[in-house]
Amino acid sequence: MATDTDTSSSTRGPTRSNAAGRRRRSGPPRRPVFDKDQATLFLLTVTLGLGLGAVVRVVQRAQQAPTSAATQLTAQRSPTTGYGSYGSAGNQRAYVLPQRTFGARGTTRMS
Amino acid sequence: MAMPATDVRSGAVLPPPPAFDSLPRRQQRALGTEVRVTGVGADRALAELERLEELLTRFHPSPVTRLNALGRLRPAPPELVAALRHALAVAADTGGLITPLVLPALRWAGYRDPWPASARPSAGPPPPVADWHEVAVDDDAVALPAGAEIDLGGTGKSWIVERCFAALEGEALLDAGGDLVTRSPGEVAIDVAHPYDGEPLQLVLPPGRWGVATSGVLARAWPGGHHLIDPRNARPAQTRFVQATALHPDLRRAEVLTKLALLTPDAGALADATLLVAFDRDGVVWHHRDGGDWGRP
Repeated sequence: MATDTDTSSSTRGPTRSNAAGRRRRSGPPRRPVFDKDQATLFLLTVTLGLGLGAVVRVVQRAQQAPTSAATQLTAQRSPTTGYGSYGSAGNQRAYVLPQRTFGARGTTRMS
Repeated sequence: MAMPATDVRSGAVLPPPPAFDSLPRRQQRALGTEVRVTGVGADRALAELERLEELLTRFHPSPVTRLNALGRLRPAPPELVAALRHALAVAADTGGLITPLVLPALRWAGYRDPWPASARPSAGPPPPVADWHEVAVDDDAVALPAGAEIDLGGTGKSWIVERCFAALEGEALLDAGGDLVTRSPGEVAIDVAHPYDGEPLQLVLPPGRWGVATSGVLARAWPGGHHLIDPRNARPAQTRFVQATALHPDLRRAEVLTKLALLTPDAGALADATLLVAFDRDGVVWHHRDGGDWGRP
């Protein structure tokens, strides 16, 4: 199949009639606007882009969650994830966890 | 669902409070450590902290150094009177275990200059710790027993931090080298540094206002000594734990609890801690339980 190095798909040559009376264009054959390989590549790109975007959003949410106030900590706290509950203030309890689990606002250390 | 806050005069709906990460933040070196302040009023809080440090330090000319040199001070600044009254109240509450009269023993042990400084123990026996009952404090005057000198390091930092925290509005955090006060409408996580640089613990605090203090015998330590003096023998304390962390609504009480946990871990005086954890010399974690004993998690 002849390749057309002219990227303008709107280029047309003059028209002539053939023996059957059908009109045909002279000049190089028209390229389809969108062939199968390009369509596949386009769909793949869109899918990957959407997928990556979704992953980025999930990661961002996970990174933001520890610095938000009550709901994330409450939702994720469980007696099985830490040392259990110690101490109380009214109906609230303070917890000690055996490792860094949430985003901390500060560090207490001897000085 | 909570109703939005409204202005009491106009009835207009008030905007929600700013997120913690968008609050003003300041950081500077003070009290011999890094101080971090987050919240509205951070500049005021730091200015007050600097002012109080200048009044109460024993390392630079101050009312405290004049008191120690002369044995008495009149007029005494109201801040010194208040800080010393607090220190003496703690001495009374702890049976003298935490007392402001340890300075001669502290110098004997080697802690003479601002930290970090090369500390060397002195030769010979330590000078005895004077009796805190003999300190006389009026509204504008202080008198010490003969030979006594004060160091407010045992109670002063938490006292200063609590005073400065009052300058902050709303949600806030004031962290003075690991002793901190936090106020939040939601839960707050605070890391607890491991004394041997292992994996930190993490405290999860309920909403509200909390003081978190940590004391230890490894940070300000040198061959032959460290900065926590046991007044019973005027020497650096021999401790079961190397680090203790206490949670209490009042940082001043949290600081006292950490020192009691180091000096007298088996006493019943620890009962009012909301939470108390400690590391032993092997880096193992212990929790202080409601029954008064220490247990492993």
